[in-house]
Amino acid sequence: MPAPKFRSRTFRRVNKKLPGGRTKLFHLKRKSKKAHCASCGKVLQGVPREMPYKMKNLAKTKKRPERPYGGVLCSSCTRELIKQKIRSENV
Amino acid sequence: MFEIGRLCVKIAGRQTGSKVVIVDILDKNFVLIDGQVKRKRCNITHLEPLPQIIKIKKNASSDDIKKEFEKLNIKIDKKIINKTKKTKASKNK
Repeated sequence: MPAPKFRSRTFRRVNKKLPGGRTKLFHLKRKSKKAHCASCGKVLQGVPREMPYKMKNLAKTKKRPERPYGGVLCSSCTRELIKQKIRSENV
Repeated sequence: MFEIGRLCVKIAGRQTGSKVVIVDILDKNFVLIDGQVKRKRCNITHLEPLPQIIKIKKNASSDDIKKEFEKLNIKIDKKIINKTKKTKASKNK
């Protein structure tokens, strides 16, 4: 029986082959999903992939890029958005 | 399109959305910008031109640009101090 803390589902079960040939069951921590862009769905840069309890302790600038819409839209999507905004204002 | 005095908006980087003016054209890809950002070199792909053009000389000083921007009532942040001013002040100390 694994240790009590490993019996909960916060740990994911992974079977790994060891150099000796036998396999062992590892209990590994779960990771949150990567941050994705709100419009094109690409993976965002500059956003760490930590569980919420760890993200809380990070500094604000560590959690997302300092650009407007940082952490929400990827760089190319913000460019397109700002361009359309300017062009619609100055028509 | 990208000539001296042309008003643009920066669409990339930390200062996205800030209004700038082209002070000098360096080469095919790069221009010198000033205005709501510190005076620096910028790639033209990071700029979006606006229809307005303001009358400034080539390499005009930041004070002239601030006056022009006040005419167009575009606010400039007080914190933006161009390096040229700072180095003079630190030398006198």
